[in-house]
Amino acid sequence: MSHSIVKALDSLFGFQTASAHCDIPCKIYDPSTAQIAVLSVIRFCDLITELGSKGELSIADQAQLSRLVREKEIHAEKAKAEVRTIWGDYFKAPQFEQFPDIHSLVHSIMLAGSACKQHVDKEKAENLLKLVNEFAAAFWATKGVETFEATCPYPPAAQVVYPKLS
Amino acid sequence: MTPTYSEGDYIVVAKWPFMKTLKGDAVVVNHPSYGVIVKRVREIIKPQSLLLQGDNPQSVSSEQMGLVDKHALIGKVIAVFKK
Repeated sequence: MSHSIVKALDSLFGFQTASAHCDIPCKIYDPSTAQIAVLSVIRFCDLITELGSKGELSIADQAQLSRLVREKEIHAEKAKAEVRTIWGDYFKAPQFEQFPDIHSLVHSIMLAGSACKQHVDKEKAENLLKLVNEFAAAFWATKGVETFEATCPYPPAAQVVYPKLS
Repeated sequence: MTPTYSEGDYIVVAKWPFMKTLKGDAVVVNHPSYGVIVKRVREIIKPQSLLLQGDNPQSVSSEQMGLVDKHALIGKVIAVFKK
């Protein structure tokens, strides 16, 4: 009844509208995209090292080096963005209670990702993978999904945390 | 803001001199990115900054909204007319 009266007044005076503004809840979150991006960073570091062992670089080699560095940086940034999205959009109070250190882990991933952009050291990329694997394990734990570690079946053949999906 | 407020509900918003904004208050703010929105005060970070959150778990997150300046506060929700 009172709603109807206010509605009638609204049609007369045109009240201002306030939105509650929610995201469209697609609920599709998966850290595998971040893990694959980091594996690519490791692979690019390997390929850059291989190229470096040539000594003098031809124009074609230099063009290849330029591409590898560019892609390494793009994939390091992608890994950071994917982790940020899961942390910012998926993690909420219950997940923060389950993993109170997740903020510190995500911050470490941001720093490690930037280090991968600044350098060509494989160790830095492997450190990023270790951290992103930790993040993936935490993510799957919040969903009640067990995880296991296995060597990815393609270069750079690094250890990756996978969900045990039956 | 479901289940507190649903699409089509009417809310009465008021602001008065020396009004105190408290943690847990439902407020309407003019957000620089999201426009005029109704959210709940999660924390009062500094005298002039509010951290907001939605009542619905699917709400745009506090981190996405960032700190909201108190000057953007339109007022507190003081009454609701449910649809």
